[in-house]
Amino acid sequence: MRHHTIPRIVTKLLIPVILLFGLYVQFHGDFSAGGGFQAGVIFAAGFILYNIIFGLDIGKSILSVNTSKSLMALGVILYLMVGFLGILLGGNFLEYNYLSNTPINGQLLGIFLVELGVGLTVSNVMVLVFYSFNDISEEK
Amino acid sequence: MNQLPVLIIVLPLLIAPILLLVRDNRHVYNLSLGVSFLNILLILILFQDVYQNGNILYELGSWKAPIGIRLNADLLSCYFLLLINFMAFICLIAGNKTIKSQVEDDNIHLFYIAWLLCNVGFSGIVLTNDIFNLFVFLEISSLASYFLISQGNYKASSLAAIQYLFIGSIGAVFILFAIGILYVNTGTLNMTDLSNKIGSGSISLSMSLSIAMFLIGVGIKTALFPLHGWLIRTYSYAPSIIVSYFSGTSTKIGIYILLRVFLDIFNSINPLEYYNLAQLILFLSLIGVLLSTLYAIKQNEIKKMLAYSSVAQLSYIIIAIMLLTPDGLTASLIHVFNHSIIKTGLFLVVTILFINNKNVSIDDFSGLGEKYPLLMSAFVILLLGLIGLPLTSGFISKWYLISAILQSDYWYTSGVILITSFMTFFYAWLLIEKIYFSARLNHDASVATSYQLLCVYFLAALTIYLGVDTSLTFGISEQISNNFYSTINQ
Repeated sequence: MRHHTIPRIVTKLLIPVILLFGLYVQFHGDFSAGGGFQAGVIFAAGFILYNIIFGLDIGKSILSVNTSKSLMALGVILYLMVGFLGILLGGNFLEYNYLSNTPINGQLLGIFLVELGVGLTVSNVMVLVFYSFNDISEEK
Repeated sequence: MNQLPVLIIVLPLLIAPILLLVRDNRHVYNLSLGVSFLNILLILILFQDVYQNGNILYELGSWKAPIGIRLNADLLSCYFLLLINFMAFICLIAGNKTIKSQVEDDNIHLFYIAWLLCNVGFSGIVLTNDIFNLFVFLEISSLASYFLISQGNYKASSLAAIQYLFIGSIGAVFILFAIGILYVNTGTLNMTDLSNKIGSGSISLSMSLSIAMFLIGVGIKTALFPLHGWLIRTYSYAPSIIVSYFSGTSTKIGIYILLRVFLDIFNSINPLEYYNLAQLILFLSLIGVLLSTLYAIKQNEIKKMLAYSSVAQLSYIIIAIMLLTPDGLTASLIHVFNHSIIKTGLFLVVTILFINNKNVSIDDFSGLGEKYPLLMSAFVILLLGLIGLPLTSGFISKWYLISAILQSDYWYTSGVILITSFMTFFYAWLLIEKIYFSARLNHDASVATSYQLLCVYFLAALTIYLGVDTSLTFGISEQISNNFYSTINQ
């Protein structure tokens, strides 16, 4: 894509906006439409676009397959840890009320952390799907 | 509040992503073995608790049902839960060596992750009180099992996995539609709430569509007679340790869903009786028993033979349920437990003896009685259990099955059960004859480790124990079926 100036320039302009929008959807999921799933996909879309335009080598040097796999697992672990925290603090699994000084703050903190875990896992799954499709086409 | 129900689902679910971080094959194995052992302990405590104090309800995040998601551990759930996790533990112990030699090195940690996730799915299905959650857990276990099946070292393994994926997805879509229709009709997804809101009386058209879709979806999952084709293919081409595990769990989960949906959720309208559905399924299963036993005799390949025999035994279970009497349900629950133990044991013997053989034929067993006297006597005990000879658990389940049939309106079908039992004896005898009375051939049966042997001995001993002392299987099954039918008759 080295000689395609327009896609390169447009991508450079778009990627920060896409990533920022991804973060917006992530952190405003509890007030408006959105949440971890949507944000994860948007965030991954930005990264995949970068890979398509600038090549996989640079992309993989930023986020290698192994790092991506670990982050994917960490997202799930974060989610479950928040759940276990509810049990440890005297409530049920995934009960956020006890996470902070008031139940409302607790709910806010809980949903924030849980959605962060979801976002982390979903975005890395999307990136890994992209990488593995690429591996298949390279094998041929 | 008692945290056990959620811990049983969530602990393996937590270990699975941790395994992805660990990656080292030995640690991965030890961790997954450890968590499944811990799970069995937790389940035994839960079982004890439920047995003494009745249902345990658990609200996730303390959101009250029907809005929140609730787990419900009753006797039926605990019964299946114990069975599934016990089978997973036994197969994990016995499977270590075979997995090392059959699965590619890079995939071993993924294999264990998928195994744990599959088990999480099964445990979730039996514990949840939310019907949509049941679908989600069903998908978790199915997706994991597609991966597990594709790891077999046959050329056709991937194909078998893809075929299972298509058929399993079709089944899942039917179940999803059925749940959707139920939700439109009642506005709730909680099972207890659903069964209250469905109410008694006539069945609307949309509700009958939902019932039909449930039946097809569950029928695919349980390998109900005309829908059993996938089972033969997956059992022939999956890694053999996974076959041992699935033969005791995956189809039994289908039986659980069948019971939960038709006898619990729909109990007030009793659709099985309303449309004479029970009669239809009963006769289909009878044909299924006959045909699959015939096919089992015809097979030369042992895995296929055992797969067809699984279809036949599952049909027995379904026949017993479709009698729609408490005795029938008791018989079916007993047979669920006994058949799982017997069939997993049989497949385990095939697994540990023939690690490197791709197609194990009956001839490969010739002369093994001399070479492995103890292992083969365990194998023969399991075979006798499959036939249903006295002093084995198979006899107990056949006994209750036939007595339940004789007391019902379908007494004349007991002839089919007797004939097929005799036919089972025929193909079991083919094996026994090879093992003890045939000249020793040059075969390459592999040496089993002591852990693997212990697992088989344990299952064989259990087959005899459950044939003598029926307090666990019969006692609990009878209590479950009495609970069900007392609510239906109210």
